[in-house]
Amino acid sequence: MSCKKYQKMLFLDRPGELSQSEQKELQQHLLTCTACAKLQEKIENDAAIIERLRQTAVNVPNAFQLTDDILYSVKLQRRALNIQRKRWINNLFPRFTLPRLRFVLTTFVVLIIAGFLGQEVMILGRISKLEKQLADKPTVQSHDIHESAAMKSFLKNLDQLALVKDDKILVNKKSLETLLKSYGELKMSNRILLQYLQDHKAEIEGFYEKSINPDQIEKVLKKDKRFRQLIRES
Amino acid sequence: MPELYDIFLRCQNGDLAAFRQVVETHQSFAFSLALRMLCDAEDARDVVQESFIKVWQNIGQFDPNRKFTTWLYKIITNLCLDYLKARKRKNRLFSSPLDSKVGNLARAEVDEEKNCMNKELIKEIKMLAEGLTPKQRIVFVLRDLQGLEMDQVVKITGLNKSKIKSNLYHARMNIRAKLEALEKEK
Ligand SMILES: [Zn+2]
Repeated sequence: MSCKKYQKMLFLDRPGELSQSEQKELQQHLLTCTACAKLQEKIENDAAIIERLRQTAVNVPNAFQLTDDILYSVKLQRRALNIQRKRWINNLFPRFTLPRLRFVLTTFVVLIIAGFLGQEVMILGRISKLEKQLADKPTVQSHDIHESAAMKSFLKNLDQLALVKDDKILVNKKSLETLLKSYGELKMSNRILLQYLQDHKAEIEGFYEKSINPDQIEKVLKKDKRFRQLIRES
Repeated sequence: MPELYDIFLRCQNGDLAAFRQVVETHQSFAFSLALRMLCDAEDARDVVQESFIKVWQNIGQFDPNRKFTTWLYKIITNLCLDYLKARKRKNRLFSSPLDSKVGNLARAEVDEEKNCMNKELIKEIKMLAEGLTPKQRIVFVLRDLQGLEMDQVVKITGLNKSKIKSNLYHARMNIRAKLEALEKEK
């Protein structure tokens, strides 16, 4: 029988490493094999050296410092964790608590307001442009024929106040309101516009709001004698 | 034991004073284990520090009814294994045999100066365990230098019994060869 197997067993001849049958087998071999018995002796010597090392106490150099270092690291860790946790909470409710998001909201509101104001300014600009364009046109008092020419020219510019969309005429409510308010001082051409709107009220939609409706325009127009005359003539 | 149970409960509630007690009680054992595995006082210190940080980080998962030292053993052993593997990789990558001898000598001198306390022990273990693979070294330290039962070694390393036996066999045979060579020198 080869000794190799028993040599391996000899290195593992410690409690819990060999099975009972293996131990028995090894013991029987050792009775007959001097080489293996010699190796056993040497392994036992090694084990004694190792046992001495096992029993040698280890001292911790600067033990207090080590404890302090460990606790310091743990404290740092804990602080870092707390910061992370705070960040996490902020991420949960950022839209209402973070200054940056408040800034975004404010900007949004300001942009909307600016948009409205811009629209207003543009409309007022258009009206004054129209008024300027029409300022030179003759009035109904002087030349009724010219008035119908003025009406034609005005209709050309109508798209600046009114929008034709899908064959329907949409008139800007605000502009119309402005016109109605200044009815007394209106140039004839603008009154013609009102008349035009009146005539086409069936096609006009989406612009009159509660306070300003086609009937109101009609009433206003019918009060004006000159206008009635104009309508008859044209 | 009930006192220890209480201390761990306090740790789990974030009590640093209780944790200090845990460190003070176990750091000597932790250092001794790490030093035997790594044979380097600086590395051992680092491992002990990292181990206790891990303990703190995972203290919530620890069952105070179970044995703390087994858990600590496991953490330290795993960290030491990482250190040993890294060391092996580093040696393989960066040094020719001559360089590594010079480097080791210089390093050993520094170690000895720094840590006269465990000088003899480190020297002897270093001599015996040199050339062992990280796993052989870990198993040898746990079983022979710490005197742990086989079952405990299984629990700590996560290796099965036959793997542990195979690593032990190679480690002890390697050590035998070294001691044999020493005897012949004399
Ligand atoms: Zn034999």
